Amino acid sequence: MDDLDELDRWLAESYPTAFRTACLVLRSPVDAEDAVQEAFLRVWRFRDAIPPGEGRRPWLYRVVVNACLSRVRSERVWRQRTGDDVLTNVPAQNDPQHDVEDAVLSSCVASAIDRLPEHLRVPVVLRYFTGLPEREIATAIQRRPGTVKSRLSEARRLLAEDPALAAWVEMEVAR
Amino acid sequence: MNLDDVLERGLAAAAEDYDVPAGGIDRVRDQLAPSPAPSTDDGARRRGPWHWRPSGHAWLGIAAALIIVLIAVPIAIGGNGGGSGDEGGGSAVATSAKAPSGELANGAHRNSLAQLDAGTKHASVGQTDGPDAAALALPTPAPMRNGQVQSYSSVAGGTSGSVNAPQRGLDPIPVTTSRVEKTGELDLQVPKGQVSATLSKLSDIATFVRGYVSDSSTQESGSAPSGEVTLRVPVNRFEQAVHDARTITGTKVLSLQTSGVDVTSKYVDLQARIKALKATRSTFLTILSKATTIGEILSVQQRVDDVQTQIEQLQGQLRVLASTTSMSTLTVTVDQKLAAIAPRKQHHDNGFVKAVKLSVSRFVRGNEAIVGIIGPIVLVLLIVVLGWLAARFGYRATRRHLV
Repeated sequence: MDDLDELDRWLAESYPTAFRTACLVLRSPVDAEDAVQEAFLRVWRFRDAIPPGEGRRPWLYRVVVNACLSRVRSERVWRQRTGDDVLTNVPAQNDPQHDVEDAVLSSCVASAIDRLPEHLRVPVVLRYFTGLPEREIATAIQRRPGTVKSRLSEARRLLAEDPALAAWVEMEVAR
Repeated sequence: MNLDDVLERGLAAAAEDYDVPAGGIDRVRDQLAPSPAPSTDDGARRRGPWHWRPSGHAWLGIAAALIIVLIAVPIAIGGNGGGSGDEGGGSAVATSAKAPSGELANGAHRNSLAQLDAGTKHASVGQTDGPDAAALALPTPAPMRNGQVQSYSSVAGGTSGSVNAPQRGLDPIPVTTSRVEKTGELDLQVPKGQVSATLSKLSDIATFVRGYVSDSSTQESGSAPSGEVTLRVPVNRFEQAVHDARTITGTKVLSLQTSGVDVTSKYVDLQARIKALKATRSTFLTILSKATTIGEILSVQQRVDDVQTQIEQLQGQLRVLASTTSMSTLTVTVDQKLAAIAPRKQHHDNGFVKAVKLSVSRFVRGNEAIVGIIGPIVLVLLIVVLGWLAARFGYRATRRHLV
């Protein structure tokens, strides 16, 4: 990508989704902001390596995921996220009109996702929030598409066993 | 709504709970502002050579170099290892062959051997007793403590220098105090029909150095006649005898081993014990002369007999030791060169039989070649796979670290 302005625009447009993806992976807005900032700096520094066309989006999330995983694997993050810290990192509801149903669903899904192991949580977030197809997820996490598929399948199996999510699915089916 | 829909909706809702920091992207821009976007070349220059990150092609090159090294090293090791066995097996022969009889015959003893061949050995004995004998005489070994035995050995004439080294700065050692047992084994190869003549020359050498042939055996029957003689030569002429034996004209030294053991302390110890026992015997004899009763006489006589037995045993050992230290032993084995294998009689096969034999031979050789190639191929494939895995791992690690 030669045009720096275009790169700047693209990063600015991608920032919200990248930040929220990092939030879902890290479950901490502070760490997520740091991770995304670090990732975007890397993207800028190695902008010559950005693949052209459709390949740049999975490449961006690959950088973001790597930055998140680097933070996850550092003890500093986990020290901050012990005990009640997890609760303090849950964002507050700023909007008083926030839909109660979405709030409950959000809480259930977030708790269930948080219980997933790291290697399963990342594909789930990239698939169901970021909306990356399996092939792009494979690029982002540097694994083969078959591995992504099996991890997503394993994640779905574990999430289906979650009582809150299972009850929610049954309730939706009953409607 | 299934689980996928629930997840999508739930994650979207959960993500919505996180407020995107208003100045997030601006903080990123602030981070970038102080350092203008470097070009690729600038970045490489700034990182310096120690921060060099290999590209994919570089990793392939590294993997290829690694494979070459991994292939070359086993081949080099295997080549040396395979050759070492053959070389090692022939080392004794090769070492000895470096000193052909012709070259060594150019030395001072060539004349004496020539005189031996001419039947004038008795006239030359007195001459070689002079400087040659003195030069070849074994140097006096260092004095040994009581009970300590010093030994040295040599192979193919290479006597170790620890004993033969000149004792500078030390008091001269009396020659009579040293007792060294020397032995040697020499294998000679002679031309066809020369076994008996060589054995005869060996006997002459023994006589020449004032020794004798203690044992001799020959085997003339068969296609490869051989013989063996055991020469007993004075210990101070041992080296001369070895030299003369290995330089007999027309012979080839296959192997030569010599060894020497200093038994001076053992010899002196035997002498002292005999002397003490003799003193004891004299004492008992004195007591015996003063004995009055039969019981006393018998008792003392028994003691005298016991001491006398011990004295005789020790004297026997002393005589053996004196013999082995005064006369060294050189065992020479003489073998005839094996005749060249006669070419097999050629059978004239007809064309069909010849073609079948040729086909079978080629089939066998082809199978041998295939089996012989499989091993290296498997090794190369293994190394290639390992190198590819290493390159892939390194490439991934580098890419991951880069982004």
